[in-house]
Amino acid sequence: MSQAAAQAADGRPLTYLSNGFTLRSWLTSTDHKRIAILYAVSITAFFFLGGIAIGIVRLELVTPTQDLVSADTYNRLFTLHGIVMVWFFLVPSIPTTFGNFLLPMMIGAKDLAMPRLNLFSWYLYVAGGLFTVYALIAGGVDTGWTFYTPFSTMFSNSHVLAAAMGVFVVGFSSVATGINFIVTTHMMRTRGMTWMRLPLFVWAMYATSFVMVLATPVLSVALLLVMAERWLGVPIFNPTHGGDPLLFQHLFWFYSHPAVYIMILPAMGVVSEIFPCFARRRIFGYQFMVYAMVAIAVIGFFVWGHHMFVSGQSGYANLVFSFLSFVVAVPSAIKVFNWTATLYRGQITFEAPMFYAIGFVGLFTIGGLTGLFLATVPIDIQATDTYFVVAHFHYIMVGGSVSALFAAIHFWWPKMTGRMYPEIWARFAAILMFFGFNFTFFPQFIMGWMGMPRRYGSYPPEFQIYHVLSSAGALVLAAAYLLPLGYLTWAYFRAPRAPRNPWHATGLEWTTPSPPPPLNFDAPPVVNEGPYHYHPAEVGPEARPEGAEDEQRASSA
Amino acid sequence: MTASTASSPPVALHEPWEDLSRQRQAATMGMWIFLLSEMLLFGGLFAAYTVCRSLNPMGFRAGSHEADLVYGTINTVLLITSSLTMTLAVRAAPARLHKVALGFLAATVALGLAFLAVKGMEYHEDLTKSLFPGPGFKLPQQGAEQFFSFYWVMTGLHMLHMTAGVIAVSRLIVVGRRYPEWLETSPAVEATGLYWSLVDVIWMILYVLIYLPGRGG
Amino acid sequence: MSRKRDKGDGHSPFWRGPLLAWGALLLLLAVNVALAYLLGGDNPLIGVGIAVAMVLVVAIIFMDLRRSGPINRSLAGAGLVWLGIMFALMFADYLTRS
Repeated sequence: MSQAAAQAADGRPLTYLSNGFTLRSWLTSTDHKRIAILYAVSITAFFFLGGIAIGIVRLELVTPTQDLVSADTYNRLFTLHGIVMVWFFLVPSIPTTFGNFLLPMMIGAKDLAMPRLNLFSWYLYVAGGLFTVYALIAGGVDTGWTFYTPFSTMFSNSHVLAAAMGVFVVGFSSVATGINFIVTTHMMRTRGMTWMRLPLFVWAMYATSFVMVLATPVLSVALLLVMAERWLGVPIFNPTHGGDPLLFQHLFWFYSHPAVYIMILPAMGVVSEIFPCFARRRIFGYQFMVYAMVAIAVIGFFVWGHHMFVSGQSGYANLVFSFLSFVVAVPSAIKVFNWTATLYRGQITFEAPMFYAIGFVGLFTIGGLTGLFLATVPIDIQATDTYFVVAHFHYIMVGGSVSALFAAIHFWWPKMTGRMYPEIWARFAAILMFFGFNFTFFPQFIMGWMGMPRRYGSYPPEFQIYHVLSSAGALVLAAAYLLPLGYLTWAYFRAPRAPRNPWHATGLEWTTPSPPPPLNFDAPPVVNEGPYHYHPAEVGPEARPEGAEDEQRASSA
Repeated sequence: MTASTASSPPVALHEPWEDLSRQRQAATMGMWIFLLSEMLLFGGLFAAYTVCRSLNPMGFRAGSHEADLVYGTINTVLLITSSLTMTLAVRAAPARLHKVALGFLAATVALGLAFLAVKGMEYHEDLTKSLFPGPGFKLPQQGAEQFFSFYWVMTGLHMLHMTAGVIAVSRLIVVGRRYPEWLETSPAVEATGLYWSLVDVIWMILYVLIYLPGRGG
Repeated sequence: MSRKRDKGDGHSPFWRGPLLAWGALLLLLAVNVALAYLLGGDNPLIGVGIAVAMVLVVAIIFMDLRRSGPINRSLAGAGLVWLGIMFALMFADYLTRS
């Protein structure tokens, strides 16, 4: 079929969006871009589900007494929030949406290597999601997202089986996506696209995929053993039969610590695309950025024991894990320094994606540095299971990953939908999100340091001021999340049409029309230079050409 | 990898590929990455087993003593042989030896089914000897019940993999009988062969963990 | 993976290597059972060591790692390395518990 000549009914060129309008044409599509949209819709639904759960929790915490929901309901709410946000939102968020959409385009391919496996992975995700929704409707789970034994296996009276099954199933969706991305990156790069010319986002996806493939099966095993013990009554973790409940924590964190890197590496890939574009600079230290990402992915597997410092793990193991946790901070720091150096002497402009990306670096740095506090055994013993920990990992996951997700949404929105977005609203939402986020989570650092433990619905009155601040911040944050939902929906129908390359960015995805045709490129592109060629080497960057955008827009209309 | 409709002959080459040999290479690599994740899946089980065994060495020994070495060894021989026939089928298919390849595939399925049958008999015997953990469990030693927890979970998970393998090989036979050219070129043949051998490999480790610790004195 | 080499080395028939491997596997299995009876099952390292030898035979001959590209070989190797990480760090805890 000739792509170039194909026309949709309204006379516009055929795009992946106009290539069929029925529900069936979406649910059976193997087009990586359509699957990305399927994922985007589903993770958005789960994001708001997890958000509602924590909204009720934050409301409960406004007063020191347990008065809005019962303690048991409270446990189920924060568990639901954790399970949904980790496995049904954060882990799949950037890889399955932007990874799916962009990876083939960035390397000049028509699709992922295994398109049907890609669609299948979405169905697995949905199947896992249905188990979770069932667990919720049936009454919820109260184990916390970590499913710790022996509570989850021997004592909990909630729907552990259904919830664990959901996470078990969605894990295979992750593995399938990982396999697909790795094979695609190896086999489908277009002519001239060497490994050291890959955009950093592709490298991020590649590293993330390996973490998914290597770590996820161990979580599956841990959950399988929990399910077997609960369902068949086999005493695997039961201490009265010689079992060790801590064994579960080892298996669980062998996955769940690297899972943090599944969440943050794609975010790093996103901001590595955005900084060069809006500073008109080549990325500083491209090769070190690549090595740092690979190093993070590998060293991320060596540090899981820092979640178990107070669990009864041996003191020697604590020392080893503490040291290794410090080591993993080094490549992360390299990345932060290189992003900052990329901005140096750049022609910086502050479009919304840039606001989000700058927010990412600041919040990720705070999250990372407080992570070093917690990697220090004596401090961790003090701060374990307090709001300090909660604030720390939310700075990484929400301040980091979610900021980057919103950066990506705005940066690639013109490419994905063929429409621009309202810049003023977007900048406002970006700033609102940054303030809302700090408003919510900074008080948690303070009260955590003062000793407020996590997972309690009632607390001593002296912590109330911090909880009220945090809950008020959550309200602002919620507004900042809802706002884009509104203006982006409007933009999809009403905003001006986007040209091929509204940001004058480098990268193959910007060389196809917006939105792209079903097979991405009319002819396989050829690459003959490295990424981020925003200015010749040895010469400083120049400002983006004024007016070029309108010119291009006029010619494309 | 499957034929889209029964009426039109299946094509080995699929979008987005333009070159069959690259597609085969990709399928093989994809299968290896999947096997990598399978290694970690069973590896996690092996690690859990090892930890529990190190905590209860005598209990595990007593448990293993009750595991039936004869069934286990017969099954190991069956699986090793099935891996041989599968490999020969994979080598014969692209050499245009369709009849030979189909014969070896059929032998593989037969051996796989035999494995499952023997496993079923062994399970039956285990249950009659009350070797399933729970009230009335046969062995009193601390840890023996745990050994059998791992026994059931590990062999059960392996059996699921075997069943999937039997289905995948049967599919090769069904499609390959009608369309010999497909059997000759499809990347599915080599990928299925790799999967089958991995299931075999997993069993070799399981065999050592389950049947051997309780032998001798 | 190319058609050429699937036909064998040119002079030896395609079934020869796998058949030898099959014989070797049966031999290793017999040795393993015999050693388990002779030495008792107390030393898991011997049994697992022989099993690993069997796994290598299957990987190299049956799964054709011998002639597979460097990428597939690295993938198989990565599996072993990651299992090593898991065992080493897990036992860093269990072997040093007081």
